[in-house]
Amino acid sequence: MKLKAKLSLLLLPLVTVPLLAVGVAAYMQLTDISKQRGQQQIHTLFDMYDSQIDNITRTAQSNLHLFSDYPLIKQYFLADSEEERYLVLYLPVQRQLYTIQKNYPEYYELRLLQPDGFEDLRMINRPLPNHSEMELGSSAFNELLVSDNDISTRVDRNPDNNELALYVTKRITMINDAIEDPGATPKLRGYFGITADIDFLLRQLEESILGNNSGMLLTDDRGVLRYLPTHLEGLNDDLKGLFAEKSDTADRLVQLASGIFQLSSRQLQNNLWVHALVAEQDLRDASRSLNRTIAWITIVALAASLTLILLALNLQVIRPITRLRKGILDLSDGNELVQIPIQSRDELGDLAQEFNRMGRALQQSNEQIRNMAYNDYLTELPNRFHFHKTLSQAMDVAHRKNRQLGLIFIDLDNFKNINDTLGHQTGDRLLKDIAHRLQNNLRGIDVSGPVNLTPQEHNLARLGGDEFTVVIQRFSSVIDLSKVATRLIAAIERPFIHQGTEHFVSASVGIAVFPSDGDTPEELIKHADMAMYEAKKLGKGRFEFFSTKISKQVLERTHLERRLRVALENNTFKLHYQTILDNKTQNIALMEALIRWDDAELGSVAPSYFIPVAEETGLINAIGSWVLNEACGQLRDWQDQGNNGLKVAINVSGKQLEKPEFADQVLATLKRYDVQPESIHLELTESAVIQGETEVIATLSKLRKIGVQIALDDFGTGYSSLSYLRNLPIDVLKIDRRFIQGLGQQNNNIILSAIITMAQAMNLQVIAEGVETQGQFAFLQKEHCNMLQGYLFHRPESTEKISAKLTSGELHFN
Amino acid sequence: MARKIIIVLLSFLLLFPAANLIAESRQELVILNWSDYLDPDLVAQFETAYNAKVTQVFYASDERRTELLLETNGKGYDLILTSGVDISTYVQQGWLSPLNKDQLPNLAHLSSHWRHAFPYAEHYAVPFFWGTTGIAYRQDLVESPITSWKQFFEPDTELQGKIALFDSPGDVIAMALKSLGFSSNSEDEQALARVRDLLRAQKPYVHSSQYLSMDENSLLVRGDVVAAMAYNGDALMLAEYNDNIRYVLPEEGGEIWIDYFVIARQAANSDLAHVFLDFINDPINAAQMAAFVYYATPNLAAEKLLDEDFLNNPIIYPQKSSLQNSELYTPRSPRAQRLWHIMASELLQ
Repeated sequence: MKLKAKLSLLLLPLVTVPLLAVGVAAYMQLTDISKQRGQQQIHTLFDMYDSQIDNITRTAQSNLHLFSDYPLIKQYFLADSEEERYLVLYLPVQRQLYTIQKNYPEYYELRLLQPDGFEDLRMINRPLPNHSEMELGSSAFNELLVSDNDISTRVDRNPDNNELALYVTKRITMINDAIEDPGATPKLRGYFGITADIDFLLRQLEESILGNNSGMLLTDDRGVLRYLPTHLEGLNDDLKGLFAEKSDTADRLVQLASGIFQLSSRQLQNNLWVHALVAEQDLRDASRSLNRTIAWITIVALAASLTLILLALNLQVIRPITRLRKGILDLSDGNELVQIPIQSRDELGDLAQEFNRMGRALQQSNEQIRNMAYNDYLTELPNRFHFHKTLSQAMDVAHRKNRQLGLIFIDLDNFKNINDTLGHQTGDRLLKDIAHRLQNNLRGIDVSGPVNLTPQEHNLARLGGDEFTVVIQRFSSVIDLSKVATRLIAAIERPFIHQGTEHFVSASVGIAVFPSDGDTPEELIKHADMAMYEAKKLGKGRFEFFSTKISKQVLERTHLERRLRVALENNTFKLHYQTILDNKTQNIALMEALIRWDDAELGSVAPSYFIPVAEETGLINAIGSWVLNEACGQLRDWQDQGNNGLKVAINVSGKQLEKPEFADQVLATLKRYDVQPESIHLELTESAVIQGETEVIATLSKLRKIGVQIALDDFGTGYSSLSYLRNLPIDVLKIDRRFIQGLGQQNNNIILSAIITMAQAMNLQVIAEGVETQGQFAFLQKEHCNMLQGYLFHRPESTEKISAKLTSGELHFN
Repeated sequence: MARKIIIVLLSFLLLFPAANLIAESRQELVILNWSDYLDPDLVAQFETAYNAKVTQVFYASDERRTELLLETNGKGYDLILTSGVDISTYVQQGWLSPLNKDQLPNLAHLSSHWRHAFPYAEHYAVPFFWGTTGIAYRQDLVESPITSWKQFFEPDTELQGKIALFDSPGDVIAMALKSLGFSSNSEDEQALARVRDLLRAQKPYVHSSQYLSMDENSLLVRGDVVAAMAYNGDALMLAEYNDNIRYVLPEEGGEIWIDYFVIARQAANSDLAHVFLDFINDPINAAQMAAFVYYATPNLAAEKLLDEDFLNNPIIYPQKSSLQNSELYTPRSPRAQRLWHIMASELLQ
């Protein structure tokens, strides 16, 4: 802004002064020129008038000579008697003069005079009274009398019409060839006069506008005013004395009553002068208007050029500079790439280009710095600084979302050894290699076992030296952390090839869990570190949780998994059965198969404990297959033993149903044991269905189509909506035991009754689970619940016991 | 185009050598005359009888005749038909030669009254016809017959724009003087001033100043002109084409004119001219001529041969009473003539 003002102030005089100077100079020049031109114009006009008057005078004179030579005219002048003149010649001569006038209408009066001056014949082509017939006194005539020339020309006022006219008069002297000698003196015969109008001249004089108070006028050689243009008539009196003396032709100034005038004069004929009278006022007026014009032009030019200059300045200089300034400000402000538009190819444009280049370079170096600040230069992993930030942020997120967070500390064992023996360069190479392995591993590449981690949810960092950290943000259980740790350790323990030889490093890993092991980053880090040291103490190449409880948890879990696999391999599972009785007949309708596991090391493990683990590890499929096989086989046996129509209910996990082959598997098993599909009930929990994938429903429909009965177990615990229920491919509804146990309290009776009514209305059979009291039994009977199951009737028993009871008839079914 | 015609004509002449020969031996007589003033029949007779060829050059006004003579200074004509007024002027100009009375035996038939009517007439001129100047008009195109010059010079609506004057201002001024009650030969300045005013006022109503043509296309025959200044015989000639044409010698009086034949000083064939003059004054020829032109012949012998109707026609032979107010043209004084010329040229503007 200041620059703008400065430049403007500088330019203002620079532009104004020359323009004004030009204006003034122009004015002076123009005034001069216009004055000169005015004079020139006047003299040119004079020349024109002169030549015009001269022209018509000469023409008239030569015409006059011509006319007077016509035979008829000559005859007329030579006629010696009036009779001849008037009786014979008059008419023809009249006619001839008429013809002449037709051709020369400007010769408006042609006169043939007698030697005594008597106007004998007068031909006019316009109404013109005749002032007198005796022309003796007229000045034109008199001039001829005294002069030697036989032609006289005068410009005079015509007394007949009071107008200025050109009088050309010729003295006719002739020898009468018929009667005189050729050598005789020519006698005066008369005069031939032409009166020609000079209107055209007067009109030109009138029309030559030299100014409002200026004009052209005519005087005779005695200075008497002969013609004054109409607009100067007021000056008549003023001018009377002006031309008294013989006028000279020089241009001069004269003083009149009405002001100062410039006077130029020219003699046109021997008795006619033309004068140009130019009022000083008119000159002044002209120059004033010139003045004004120049002033306007100058002002406009000034305004225009100033505006343009300021505009140009602004556009070309100020704006680019401002932009540059802004760019610089932006640059110092943020981290983003700052570029400014290059709008011209001039120095400022070059400057902008350089600025941009600088911006780019700056941004690059900024990135580099950021890189260097955040990342470890060797492994390109995030560095300690970055890691701290990441951990803080992750913990905030975890805290907000109420999730757990795992921090894994990895410390390489015997790395110092490698460094010393193989050199720092190799050591670096090893570190890089380790970093790669860790990264690959965490990405899901190079993995053994199921992975639950998405690439974004781990954050590998190099803390420094031979320490690495991994932040795990999403995991379902702490077991996953241990699995990751195991994998990472395994990855690190792979051989490292250097110059053909294999070298080995191992790692000690410490795991801390948020929020149980700390709610600040520092605490978590400290605990992870401590866990890592524990691992080192306990023998290296292993991982340790900070929390013993978690450690214990993990250990137990690992154990269980191991034993499960063993159980599967060794077929250690067993099936027990519990009856489901028909409400009406009290006979057995179904046998529910329940899996039992008695492990050598763990002892008796409840299905509610190991089934979820099986589902998590994927072992459920194998276990489920075993159960299906076993139950179908058993059913076949019982049916063979005479218990036709006996049905078996098998619990299946939603996970099993997610596998599309499951339905085929069931079919195959049924076929193998030649069991009717209708004699199989597949029970799965309401929650399993609800939480399960769409494949579950598809598989169920498939199975139902073949004839297998589907039962929804633990109904009432899954929070399914009625409309959802309506669309499920199920046949049986098993009401959860909590509802049965709750009978007698609150509204449970009404609710239960409603459920039964509703289910039956949907064509579903209802089984009540966990019937233990008579009261419950009585209620359920009253409510016409289809089937009943519970300790009140029978407990789950082993296959042998059931078989025995069936044989004995203790247990009988419909 | 003209060339071609000439060539054709010449070739014709060459093809007919006989005609050629005859043509070569014929004498030529050039007559300066009014048109339709010589009976073609008589002319043919004369030509056959005397093996002559008659050529006429026409003029339509006295002034024109004078102009023609001035142009050639009288040369180129053998016979000139002139009004009595101009005889002395022509003599003064040296354009005429006196008659050889020996060659004109038939001159005896002419009334001496006419022979002495004008200066120089006795010795230089042979009277031809005399007549009046009055008004010829279409009686079917006017409410009532025209009787005065006043009606002519101050026309009513029915005549406005339908007036024809003479080509000769002198005649017009003369008749205008008459209409104002002055003598047609008056030289009084005041009278002339009044005439000037009268003629000026009349000017807008004048259709034509050309003398009427003597054929069926005449303006009077057509009706474009209803009243025209005319010579009495011409009016009768025109009446042949339209019997609604009447002639009147107005009550203020008209003009009496006398035409004469004169012989040009520079006549190529003076003898033949004399023969012609004698021929046409043969009583039978003169009578025939009169019947043709409807004019009063000065040839007393011829008069006797004309039929009653002709002699009784008041137009041709007006009564003394009707001639009462009429005047004979007399030569004007040069100065007066000048005034008349000036006035005429003024009116011509």
